[in-house]
Amino acid sequence: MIGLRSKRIISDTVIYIVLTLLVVIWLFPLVWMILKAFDVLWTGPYSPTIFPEMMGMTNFKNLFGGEGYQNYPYGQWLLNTFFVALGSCVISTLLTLMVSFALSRLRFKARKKLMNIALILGLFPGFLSIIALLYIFTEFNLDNSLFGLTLAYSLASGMGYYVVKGFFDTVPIAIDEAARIDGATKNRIFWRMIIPLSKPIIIYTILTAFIGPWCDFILAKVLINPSAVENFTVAIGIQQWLATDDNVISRKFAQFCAGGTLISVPIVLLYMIMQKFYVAGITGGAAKG
Amino acid sequence: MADNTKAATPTWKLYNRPWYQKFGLAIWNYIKNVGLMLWSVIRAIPKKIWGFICAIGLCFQGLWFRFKKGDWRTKMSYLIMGFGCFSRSPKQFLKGFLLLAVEVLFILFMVFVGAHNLYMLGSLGDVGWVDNPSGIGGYIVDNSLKIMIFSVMTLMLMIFFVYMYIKNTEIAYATQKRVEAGLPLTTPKHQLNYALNDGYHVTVLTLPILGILFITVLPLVCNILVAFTNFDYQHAPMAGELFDWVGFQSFNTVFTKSYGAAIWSVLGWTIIWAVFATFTNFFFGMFLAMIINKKSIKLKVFWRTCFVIVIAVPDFVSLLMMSKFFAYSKLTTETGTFNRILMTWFNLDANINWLGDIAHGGLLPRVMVIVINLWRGMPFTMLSTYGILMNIPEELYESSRIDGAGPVRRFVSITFPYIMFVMGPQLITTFTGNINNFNVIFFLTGGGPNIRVGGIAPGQTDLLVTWLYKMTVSSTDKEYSNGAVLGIFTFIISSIFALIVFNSSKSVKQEDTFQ
Repeated sequence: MIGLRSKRIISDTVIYIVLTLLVVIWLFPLVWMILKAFDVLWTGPYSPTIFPEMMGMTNFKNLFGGEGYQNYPYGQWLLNTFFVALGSCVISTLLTLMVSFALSRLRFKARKKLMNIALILGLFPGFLSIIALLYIFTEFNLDNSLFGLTLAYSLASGMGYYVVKGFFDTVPIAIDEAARIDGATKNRIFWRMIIPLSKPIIIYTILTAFIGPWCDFILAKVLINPSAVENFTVAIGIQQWLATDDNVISRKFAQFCAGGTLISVPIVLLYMIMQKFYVAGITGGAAKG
Repeated sequence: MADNTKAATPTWKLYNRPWYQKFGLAIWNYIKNVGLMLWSVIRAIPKKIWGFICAIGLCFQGLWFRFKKGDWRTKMSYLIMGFGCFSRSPKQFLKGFLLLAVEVLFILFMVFVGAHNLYMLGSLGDVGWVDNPSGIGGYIVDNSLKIMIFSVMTLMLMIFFVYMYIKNTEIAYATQKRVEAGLPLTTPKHQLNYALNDGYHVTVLTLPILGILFITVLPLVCNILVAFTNFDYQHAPMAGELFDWVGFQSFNTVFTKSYGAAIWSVLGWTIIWAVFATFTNFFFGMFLAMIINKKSIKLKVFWRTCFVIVIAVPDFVSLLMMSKFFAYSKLTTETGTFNRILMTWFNLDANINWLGDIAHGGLLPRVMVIVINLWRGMPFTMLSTYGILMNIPEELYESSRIDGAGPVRRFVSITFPYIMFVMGPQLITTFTGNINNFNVIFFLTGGGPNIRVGGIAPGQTDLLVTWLYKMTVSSTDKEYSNGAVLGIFTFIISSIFALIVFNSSKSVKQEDTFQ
């Protein structure tokens, strides 16, 4: 028995060492980024030391004021990002729930066909439609506006019904039938029975619907006019601080780190909540197609 | 086809065969199934087309039948939609006038927008820019892009209108039948109740489908059409120039002329990238989840959270930061932090251009994007595998222990098959996702290093999608039509892999099992 026990102690120790090593490697770049955000001496990406020599809050202060603030109104970008994410979160969640309910609970002729079409549409690289979307939004005067951006993020979200439908599928159909016998309409079943029974998946949907636009770069980049600084989201705003070619070295890297750290904090917190859903295997519904 | 799928022996049931035979058989079954799948899809096409033609024929037959049997009110509905409803009873006013509104709005749209644009679709406009008589400034007469977009919209509306028109005759005839049979007509209350009950799918799906049509389908169709035009920076409607239909010219440019050599090597790299990005993440993520999940390991939540933090940071922050972490400026020979670490902590003379080295066709940057992608993507797999591991019934392990199975045996016979069963389909979705993985490449290398020249040449790490981005967004001399061809090509590549998803996920066919 002693042999077995010492074997386990050795294997556990090895695992702890491996885990510690991995965590250090995985977190080092992020820790470095946070420290860099406080660097006041070398604000460019290339510095002679690994960690900052002089630390201060200048970079964070510069995010919300300072010289040339009107050219990079970070505070405004933060608000823009927040409102776009919030608006599209509300619309997407509603649309996703509606589609999932219809495809999971209702039986109608075109159901299978719609699901197949959604599957095929989902295969086109999102990119292909983004560029044409710009042309269309220009025709409808929706380009270069936060409202248009919100619509672009949320209106097509009905396509991402897989996870929620997978969850709805696991709610026993007997519940519906019982309610039907008691005279409830389908509308009532949806709002009063299915939704309260699906709280975890709804929270999950809300969180992902919020995080998506918050973290997105490309759609905003294409739809928002590069000269309309006041309409930027944080993503395209701070990307600009680094987008210089090799000849001109950007000196805004530390400020990028500061802005990036700030925008990441809420998402890190949301992910702490989300972790639970992943681990509980709720999202396994995605695999069920 | 279903029978063939069943005949394939599940790999983990061949427990007494050597591993290489199982592996070989698994792969053979897979390829066979994909082949059968493809064949059955192709075989079904003529049948589908015939079915479609038959359905249209039935529609017309129904139209004629109802017209023949209908009384004058029903016949009038063929001209004035909703007449069969609102002319019979005030109860049916709401329904009838809604139908009438559809007709009126459609006609107004056709008169003011639709007809003109459809008429111009053939030529995509005759006159672009016209100077003012005064010689100062000018204005745009025809805008090819606008014509194309509105034509597609008009066609979509026309399909909708025809559907509503047929529905209208059905409703009129049904109402007539009710009157003839002496049954009471439905009241607005009934009609509302229909919207909340038997017709609830229409109520809940209308808005989402309209959204998808506007945001996804309309742009997609327009972009596919653009592939058959000569739309580029020299033919930009924004500047008052027109573009025209040119058939397959852009396909020719992309596949044989200017980009003939580049596109295949980009495709090759795209697939190599997707394979490595998917499988490194999958295996390392699974490994990590398993060691964290080991019973005797403490602080499980802590370890997990450490890794989750990495995926919680948005791509545009973490990947752009990484691009500077590994940066190296050739011109000023200034160096980023990673080289600095190698120099100070490990005393190495490191002046390596991690993301821009051009030796061996940019091998180092290619390896680096895969490695950095592992840093970013592994925690995702770790999280979902962790969830699956927790769901494996403990009894399986206990009984295997009694049978004397060691840890390796348990992994090969229980854990791995179980994970594969759940993650298998997802793995291939991830694979297609990686084919279109824009963020990693764009933020890390921007597609570079650039070795190729001429036109908008792709860089060494460019995927099809980032190349598409270069052609249509970031370049100054934009090549929209070539970009559209590239998009269609990417779609075809992804859909081949998606067919495999269909094939491997049995749950698609058995989605009702749980209810």
